[in-house]
Amino acid sequence: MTNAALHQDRGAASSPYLHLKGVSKRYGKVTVVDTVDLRAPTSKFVCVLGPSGCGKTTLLRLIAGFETADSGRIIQAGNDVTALPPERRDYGIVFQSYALFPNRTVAGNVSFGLEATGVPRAEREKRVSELLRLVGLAEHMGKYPNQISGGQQQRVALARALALSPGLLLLDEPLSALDANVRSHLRDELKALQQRIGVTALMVTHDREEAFSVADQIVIMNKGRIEQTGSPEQIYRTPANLFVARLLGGCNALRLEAADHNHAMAQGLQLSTNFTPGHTNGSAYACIRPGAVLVGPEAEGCENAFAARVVSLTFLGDIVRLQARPEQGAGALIEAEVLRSRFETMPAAGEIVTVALPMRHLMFLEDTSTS
Amino acid sequence: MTTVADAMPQRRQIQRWAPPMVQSLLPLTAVILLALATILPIGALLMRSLFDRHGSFIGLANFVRYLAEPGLSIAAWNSITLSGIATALTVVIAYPVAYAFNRSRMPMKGVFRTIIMLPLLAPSLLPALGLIYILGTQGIAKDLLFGGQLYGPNGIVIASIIYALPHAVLIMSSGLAQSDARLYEAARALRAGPWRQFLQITLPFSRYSVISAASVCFVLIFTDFGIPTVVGGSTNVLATDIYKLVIGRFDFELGAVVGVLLLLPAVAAYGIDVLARRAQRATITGKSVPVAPSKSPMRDIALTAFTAIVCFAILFVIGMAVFGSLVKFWPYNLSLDFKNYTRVFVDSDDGRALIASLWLAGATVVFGAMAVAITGWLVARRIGGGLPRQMVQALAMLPVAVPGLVLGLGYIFFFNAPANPLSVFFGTLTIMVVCTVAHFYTVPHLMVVGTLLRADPEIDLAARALQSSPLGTARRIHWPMLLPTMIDVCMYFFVNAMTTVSALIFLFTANSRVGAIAVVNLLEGSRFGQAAALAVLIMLISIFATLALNSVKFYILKSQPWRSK
Repeated sequence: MTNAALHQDRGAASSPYLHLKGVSKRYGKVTVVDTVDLRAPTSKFVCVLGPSGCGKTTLLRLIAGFETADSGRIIQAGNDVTALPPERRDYGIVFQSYALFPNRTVAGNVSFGLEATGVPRAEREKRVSELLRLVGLAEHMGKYPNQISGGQQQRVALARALALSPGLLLLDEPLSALDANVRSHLRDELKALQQRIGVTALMVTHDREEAFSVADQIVIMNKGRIEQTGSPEQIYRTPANLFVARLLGGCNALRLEAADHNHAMAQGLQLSTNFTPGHTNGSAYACIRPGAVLVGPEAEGCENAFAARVVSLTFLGDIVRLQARPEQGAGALIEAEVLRSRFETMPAAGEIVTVALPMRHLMFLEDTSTS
Repeated sequence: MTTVADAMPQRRQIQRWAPPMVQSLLPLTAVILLALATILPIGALLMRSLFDRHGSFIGLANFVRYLAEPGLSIAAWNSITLSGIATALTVVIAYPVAYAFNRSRMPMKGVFRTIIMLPLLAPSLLPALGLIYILGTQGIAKDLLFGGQLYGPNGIVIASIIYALPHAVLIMSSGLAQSDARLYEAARALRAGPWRQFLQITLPFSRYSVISAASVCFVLIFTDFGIPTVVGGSTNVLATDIYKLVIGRFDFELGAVVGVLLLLPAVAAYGIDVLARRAQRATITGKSVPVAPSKSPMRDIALTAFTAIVCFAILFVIGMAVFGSLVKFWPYNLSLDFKNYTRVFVDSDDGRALIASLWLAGATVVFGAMAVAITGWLVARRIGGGLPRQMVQALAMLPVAVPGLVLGLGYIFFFNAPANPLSVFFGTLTIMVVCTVAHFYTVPHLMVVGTLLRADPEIDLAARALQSSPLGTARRIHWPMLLPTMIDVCMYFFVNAMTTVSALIFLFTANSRVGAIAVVNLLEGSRFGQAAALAVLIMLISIFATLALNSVKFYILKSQPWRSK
């Protein structure tokens, strides 16, 4: 039987492997997790992405059973686990701090859970060497945690979490304590491993790049609530609101003053749009990613083109970030990220250039955080 | 392709979920036992000070009666002033020594440190005895007092300094050890000379450890019973008065009053110590770079000379006690023999007391170590509910603020009450073991908490997620981490149980008399040579135990390669 098939058998065909229904957690008067609904489909990689303090770690601890929900239900593989202690749930967990047992070797860490559950020695040893081969640490099995690198330690933590063949793998910012190089490498390994063994994974992170690169599904969290759920591409292209758009990358937001069918006035700029905003009551914005803004020759002839004075230029390698202020309008500052190679000579600060906001990239977004 | 899931049993076995007995029952048991050993006896003493001997409430009438007796209230004044003077001198002497250990390139630091710490291994009576041989009426250097008397304020102050010095050096060393080299680099960049650096960086940054050392030494000296008994002469202090009132006059009510008077300054000093330590911690950041002493021969010569003089004084005093124990008949026949030592073993009483000391120390080590391992684990790894855990911590912190004499007297009031079913233990070695464990509980409890707090709390969560029970995690993860600290805990309990007098002076009977108390009794009978011999034997046993336990610790550390890189 293949792994994917095995894992498909576990959950009923239609219902998700992990299902949170209206889960809330309060500390005193502060609601840290606010009626969260979440579905993690079997064998998929779900990322909960949000700024620090948004409640994503508490959410993970609720799923792990380190905290108990005040209301709502947590259903895993068809069973209600809401009130179960961690010991009776079925998951493996990887922490940001690795949390390896310092007094046990690499092999001893991996076999810890197998010993606790009374797996016979021979089976234990077989399983440990298999797992260590899987994470590429077979030759380090006799070493102690302080004798190996951070990346290797996190691989041990991963092998340890998988030792009991859990149905669910929980990852609490597993890569954020590592160097940038190790991080991107381990990220790819993590994704490949998850797909290979077909375990349902749920990772919390504040790093959008990390979420984009591993997730089948991203859940955006803010102030204890879920803002949006969808595939990485989906939420990047059609963010639900200004918060989501900004969390996923830079975003020019021009406040809408008036709008009708296919026309809008945003901070004194007359825009042609292919959306019709429902309202323009101060929290509505016309938005565009800096990468979609056109500058110079390619902007000329495009709709929504304005003459703008360059305010600053930031060299970022192949890409140059340029801030410009349109000559007309109410002083809106537009940020553009352009390829260096598109220009023979870069415009200098103070020069006038043409800047265009192509209609098909303009989004209508609301700032829900102020309301 | 074989994969992990293929190789595994299809469903993992989920262990039966045991009700969390450990989390609920253990903290509760700890609270009850700790309360019985600490707060209830202390409460009994506080109550007693407010009642008359027939058991009716009389408010503060006992305190009024105490103040009305002129001889008694003078003792309070003596205690405060003499302890104050001795504390000030101790700190002044200890600071340069601690500075030499941490901020100089003094040679032979290990040797000096061992000598400075030597008084910790002997009863406080031993330096007092040594002083008698040096400065007493028949002492070899009594002229050093310029016609003054050893017995009285002089003797109390000098002996107290030797007794308290190791504590002061230890506390101030930890304060001077944790400083930030970057501050000194910044000061040099601003062209501050060494003297200015000392005044504006070293001194301000170590001031909290000085305050901390002063309050600890004050309590030690203020509540010590041994020194004023031996060299106090006719100078009354609270610590000797409480004994006379209770044992001599059977006036338990006034005894309780003196107990309260001993307790209050001790609690106040402890409060100051806690605040000072908190402030000290706040001055250190995680990024601090330790200071490496620069080259400065003048400084090193001066500090080495000073430390050497202090060490010589300690060795001289202790050495004279040892010498006195070997002398045939001081001061008339100075030829040496082991008569005083053989007499300890021939005299069945003193020999029996020494054996009782070993039993007491052994039992204190076993039960004390077990208890602090459990309470420290409960507190550090957050086992069980918040409230019982906080109560365990509060009760474990209590004894350090309670003088041994006060605790011992409280034990009389609490355990000797006819209504108390536990009174069957009164007068036994059992109650003395309980009292000794309680008396010295705080420091080893904190050692365990400190060690276990160093481990990431997420380790426990990881273990739980891997279906390990709290006790399973304790056995397989926490215990190996704790093991070397447990050796320090055993050492602390053993040495203190061997040398303590104050808590036990009220609790012993003819059958449960221990060595350190036998020394007091011998001194009361002016049998100095025998007293010195017994005190030296206690010190030798302590030294031997320390060496033995240190080598055990060495082998434990060697067997735990995961500690080093």
